Amino acid sequence: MVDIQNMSFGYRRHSPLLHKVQLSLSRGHIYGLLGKNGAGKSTLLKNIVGLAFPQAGQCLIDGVSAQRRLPSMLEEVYFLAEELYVPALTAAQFVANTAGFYPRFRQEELTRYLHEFEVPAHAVLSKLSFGQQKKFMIAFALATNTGLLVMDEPTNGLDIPSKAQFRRIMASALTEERCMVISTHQVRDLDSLIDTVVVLHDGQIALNHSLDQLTDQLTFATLPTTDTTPVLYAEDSVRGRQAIVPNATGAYSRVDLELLFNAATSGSSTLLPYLKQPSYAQPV
Amino acid sequence: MHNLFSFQRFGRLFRKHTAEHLREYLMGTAVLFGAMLVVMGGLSYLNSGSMNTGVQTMFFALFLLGAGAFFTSTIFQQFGSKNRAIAALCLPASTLEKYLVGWIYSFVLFLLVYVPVFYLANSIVLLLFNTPSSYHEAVDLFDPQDQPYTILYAYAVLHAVMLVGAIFFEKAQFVKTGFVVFGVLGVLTLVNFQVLKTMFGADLVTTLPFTGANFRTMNSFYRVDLPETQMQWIGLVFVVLTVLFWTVAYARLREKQV
Repeated sequence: MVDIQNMSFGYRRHSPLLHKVQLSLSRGHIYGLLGKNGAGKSTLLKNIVGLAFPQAGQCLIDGVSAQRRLPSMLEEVYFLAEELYVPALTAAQFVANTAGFYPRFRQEELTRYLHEFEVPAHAVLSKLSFGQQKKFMIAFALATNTGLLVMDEPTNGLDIPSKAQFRRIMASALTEERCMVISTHQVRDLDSLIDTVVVLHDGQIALNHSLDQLTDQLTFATLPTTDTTPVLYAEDSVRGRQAIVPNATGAYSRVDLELLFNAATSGSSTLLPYLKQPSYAQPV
Repeated sequence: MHNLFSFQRFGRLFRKHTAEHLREYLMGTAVLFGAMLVVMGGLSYLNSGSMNTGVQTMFFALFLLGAGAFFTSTIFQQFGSKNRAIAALCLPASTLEKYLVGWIYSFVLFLLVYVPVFYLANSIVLLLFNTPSSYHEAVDLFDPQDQPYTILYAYAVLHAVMLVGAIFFEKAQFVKTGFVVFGVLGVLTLVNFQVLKTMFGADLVTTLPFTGANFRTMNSFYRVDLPETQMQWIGLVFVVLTVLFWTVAYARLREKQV
């Protein structure tokens, strides 16, 4: 669905924020885009949807350059920005004037999502709280049923129950026809939601693996502080050493996204090279 | 799928723009109507009589250029701030459709609303202040002698310039475009004056670009103009400039990034 080829971008010509990024995103997946503050997550998303133009390389959506912003392409894309704009219209007026642009929009789905999010369906949008506005726009974005749904920090401004609702609704809205990309720096918000982790670091894609691949190759474990087992990455915590070790037995362990993210962005010299090796070459 | 233009999609976009801005446009129209009544009524009151057609034409031009320039500078405000621009640029409509909605509102619809509002306000003022000793008809926009309708050409040029400013600047478009326009006009006037001074080698009297050269030697005053047939080509320069600025505004919208 999304094909990024050797894409470079910078707000100043000689200091690129993104450098020769290569990334392919397919339908039927929920991607979690992780990165530190200022890593360029939002910039990458804007390039994906055609709001920013690459200085080199290109971003394609279904084979069409995103920066052309063709209506036929935009009908297949919904981008939910971190900072929202809602007009001074009621939800019903907004839907009446906007839904028609999206051929696969479903009113009954919007009604269901709004009910689950507990957002009043007849309120004036600009009068709602930021969290309520965000939930309305998430519900609308999902109801458009676009092939590509890109969300930048969607959980910012949501309270704790709403974050759980968000994860539940997002998971229920994924179909084989749909590609969802969620960017966040709050790694825990993506727990049990995403199926592929993409980490952006130092202007490049440092990691792009499905959770299945990660659990096949890695074990996330808490080791006693005295344990001297060789690890790919470890952090000391009050519970012991939070460690990532090669999965020698093929046993399942839950991916600790925060630990994985820290490992990918810490400059660890062992984890990323290990993941890049073909599985037959990995020492067991 | 017509990616350049679709009437259905354009109609949908037009309805959306109207729904989101109708209230502020109606309020703006009411403010303009009130301002016309106060200014033209106030002047008539101070003069103890109604305005003649020359003064009416002057107010028609002032309000048209002032209100029109301001309105046009706000017409692309949805592409100004970052969060609004994201929503506007991602909406599945072509750049041409998004541009045309702004162009039609600020040029065609503005004129269609402005002219009746002016005539209504003007008629009320004339009704209130016409007396047997000071009686004036309402100005005829299409009067063949005075040709007040030529102001509409000036509006077209101003509209094109303000449209570029509306999409080029992200904030305070009216003020910033005004600064640029006056700056460019100032420099142009200065350069034009110096070039003419070099050409004629005489004491020039204030001479504006695209007009004849006025100068004085001893006690004689001279004016050098292009032949009338060539002066008509000057008008063409403004037509070309207008179309050029409209095109630049479209191109700028096409290349807009957030």
